[in-house]
Amino acid sequence: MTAATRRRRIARDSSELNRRRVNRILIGLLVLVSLVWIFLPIAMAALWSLVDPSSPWAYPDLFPRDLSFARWDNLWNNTSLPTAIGNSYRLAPAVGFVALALATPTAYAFGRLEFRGKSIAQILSLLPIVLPSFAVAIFFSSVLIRLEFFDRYLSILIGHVVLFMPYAIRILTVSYAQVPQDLIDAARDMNAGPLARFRSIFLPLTLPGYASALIIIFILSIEEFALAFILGSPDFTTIPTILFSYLGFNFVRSNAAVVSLILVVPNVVILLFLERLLGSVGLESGTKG
Amino acid sequence: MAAIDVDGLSMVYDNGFQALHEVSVSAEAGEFITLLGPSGCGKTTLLRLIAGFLQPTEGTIRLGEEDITGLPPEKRDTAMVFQSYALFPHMTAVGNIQFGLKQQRLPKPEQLDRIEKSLAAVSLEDQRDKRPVALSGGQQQRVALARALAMRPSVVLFDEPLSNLDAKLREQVRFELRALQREFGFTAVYVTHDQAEALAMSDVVYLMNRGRIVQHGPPEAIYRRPNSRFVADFLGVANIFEGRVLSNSGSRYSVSSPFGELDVESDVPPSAEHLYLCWRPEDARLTSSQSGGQNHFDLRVTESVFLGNLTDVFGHPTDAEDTTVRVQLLQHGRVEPGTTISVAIDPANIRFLEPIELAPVGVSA
Amino acid sequence: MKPTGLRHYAKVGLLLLPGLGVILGFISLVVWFAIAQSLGQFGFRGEDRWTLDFWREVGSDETFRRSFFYSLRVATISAIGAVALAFPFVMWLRQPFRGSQSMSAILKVPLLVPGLVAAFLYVNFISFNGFFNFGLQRIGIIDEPLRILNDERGIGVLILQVWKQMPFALLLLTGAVRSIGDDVFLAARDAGAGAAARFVHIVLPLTLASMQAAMVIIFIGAAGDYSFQVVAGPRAPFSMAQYMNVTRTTGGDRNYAAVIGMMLMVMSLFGSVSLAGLVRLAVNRGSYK
Repeated sequence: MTAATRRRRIARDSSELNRRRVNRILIGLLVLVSLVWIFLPIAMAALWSLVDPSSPWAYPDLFPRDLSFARWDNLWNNTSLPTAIGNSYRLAPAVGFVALALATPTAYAFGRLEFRGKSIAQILSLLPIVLPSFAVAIFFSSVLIRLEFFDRYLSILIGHVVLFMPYAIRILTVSYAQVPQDLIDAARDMNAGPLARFRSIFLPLTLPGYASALIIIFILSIEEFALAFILGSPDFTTIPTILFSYLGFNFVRSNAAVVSLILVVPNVVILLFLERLLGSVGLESGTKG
Repeated sequence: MAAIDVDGLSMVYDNGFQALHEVSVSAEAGEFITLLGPSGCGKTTLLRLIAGFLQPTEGTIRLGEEDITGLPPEKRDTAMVFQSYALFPHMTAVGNIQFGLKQQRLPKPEQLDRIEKSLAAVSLEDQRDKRPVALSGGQQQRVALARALAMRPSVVLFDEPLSNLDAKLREQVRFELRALQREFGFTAVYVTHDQAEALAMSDVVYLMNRGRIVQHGPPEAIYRRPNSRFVADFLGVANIFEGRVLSNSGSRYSVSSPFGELDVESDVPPSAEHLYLCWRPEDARLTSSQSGGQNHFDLRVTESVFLGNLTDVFGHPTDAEDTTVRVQLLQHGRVEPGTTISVAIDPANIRFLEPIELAPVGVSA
Repeated sequence: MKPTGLRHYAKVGLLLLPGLGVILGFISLVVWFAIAQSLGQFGFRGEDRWTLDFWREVGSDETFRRSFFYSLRVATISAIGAVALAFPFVMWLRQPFRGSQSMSAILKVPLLVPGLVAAFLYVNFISFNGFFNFGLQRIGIIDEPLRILNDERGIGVLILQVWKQMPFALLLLTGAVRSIGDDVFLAARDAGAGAAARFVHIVLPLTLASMQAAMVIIFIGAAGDYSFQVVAGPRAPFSMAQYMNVTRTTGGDRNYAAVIGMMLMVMSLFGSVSLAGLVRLAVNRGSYK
């Protein structure tokens, strides 16, 4: 190794070290920021939901004096929270399945057929996403009053289906478009009729798309506030409308904390699921040779 | 134009993989050198080190008199033609060519002049305002080339630039590349895994394997005088066999082999008593079976393929059934399997390769 | 190849009916009601007539003017802010390194937090006896807790919008930046472009479409926001959705509420499209063609 080579090596090592050190500092910074930005607030919510009503939590106590499930108990037994949870969880799966069923033929047409005006049709199918949902909800409530349709569950169901169908159409269009034509031709070649082709090729190959669309719509429906609030109030409550009632002008902090945590449950389940997916991908850096 | 001199370059990736082991390569100013080797041999890594996209673990890279090892790619007087072409999809052909000139802040007239010259050099004047998607693969390749040429670099680095073209176009572009190189006078470092490309284009070929240069020299030299089984096999086709050196007088050696005792004429002495040897299938001459003279042996034909300009014959020597030999006969018809032919090899066409390494006792593969 | 037979189009039409058909039917009904209501119909107060009175009212309504520009401002700042904040992260995480996947997972957490929960977390953090005040008091920067909830400038709403939408922009932009080949970046470096030049001339133009999509969606969401505004926004001015709802419920005036709703839709549409156009103009002006 010549002196010049050695110098080079040292120079390279130090620039390499620098890059790594910068990355490490950035990571540390981001972890710190996200601690304040994301995890601290969530931890605070968890703590607040456990504050015992008998001894309030106030400055300068770093932690609440007494912890108990009294708030959870109280909300569960004395408010309409159980009904709201029931409503939300009755609504979301139904919205998911109806939206997927209605979206399927359209997604098939978008993904596998050529026709004039297809791109316009695809843009039109995104309309519910680009219209302000709060205004849509208010106008839709007028429509329902005019039609004298007062079933709140069905009203919200219809609203949610239309509101979230664009996601289903979008995801399923990609799924259907990605099924290789060769496979379909091969199946035809082996005398599979339309039904057999659907069952043996389209269904298994688009299943991941259906699963992710269902999960997404489920979560969106659980979280949805505007339609549920406008169409449901006052007597039909969902988890978000209950939470809203504890936020707005009369802020009931501990109750809001409890309901927030309940509302976040399905997302946390999904997050864990995603983490596992990420874990299987591996975290080490890849290098191309 | 400048000479390039790579000295003792080693490269270890973050994941611990050592892609290069003390590689040294040099090119005279205006020379065309090729880095040839199978995929994963480190040739692309070497090219990217020269370009500055990677930093070596050890070693130096010089361009002319200047040590450029630590310089970032934007500060190096090199231009790369990528395998994927790496054209900027949102810019026209002209936009792509102009990009680097704008980065150099050249005066506008100079920019336009260079654009015209580069476009003309690759005959793309008509496609100047098209974006990459509107161009064919061959045209994209030319834009990539023109973009590199417009930079007037001392060294142009080619990363398998022809691998995405069809066979016919590839042959045509080979000649054009050489012509452009002579016209613009840049030093070229060309990476490929295609031996025909390497032989056809280069002044010097560097053959690489597993992160090392295994042989280098002018194309004829390394084709005619491979120094190892790897080289003999990678460049063209070779009959490789084991032999034992019995005696010699001057540059004339007597070797025992599956073909009987062979005479070998070599100015390079054998590296060991037991070693590998090879000869090229096209060096075999048909002889009349009676002669039985120097380096003659009989071949029982197992298969033969008529290829038009030559006939590929496979068979084994009559007294060595487990050795398969390939012979290419020029201007010859089909040879029926089952027949026996008699062939001779000129002693000067047989090459000594590396020694046979006897497996140590107690270690199995 | 586009088949043109009548049968083909009949088939496409039938396939689109349950998905796109339902969406278009719903949206047309809602928009028709919006128009009709704003012109004096469906007031549900007995005396419907076609009139432009409600539209005239808007011209002289100072509350409307203030909430219109307030929502416009919030939407514009949120859209630009979320995208601007996302870009550094996108570039940082472009090439994988040890920990980069965990980083991008952490950054995307807000995507999984429902809007109302985010609002609660923020309020809980910032409120009179929230952690923010607690922390400042502990460090000794302030003696008395600050009343910064429902600040007049709508900073709280902006923080919430950016908090919630930055990961969404991150998601879209990451996809766009990843689809630029590594070789293209290398070629730009090879041609002498430094980091800033690569960003302006390569990254921005090639991610323009995703950037516009992210901005349009964020703009529309923020323009029509109700819940963040009610929970964390200033007491005055109202956001458009809030003003619409107040007019409908407290004022009982569905016709005037419809005018506000129409204006909200118009703002969403034209505002987001103009923003996208301006961004395109800026990017194209800055970069080579």
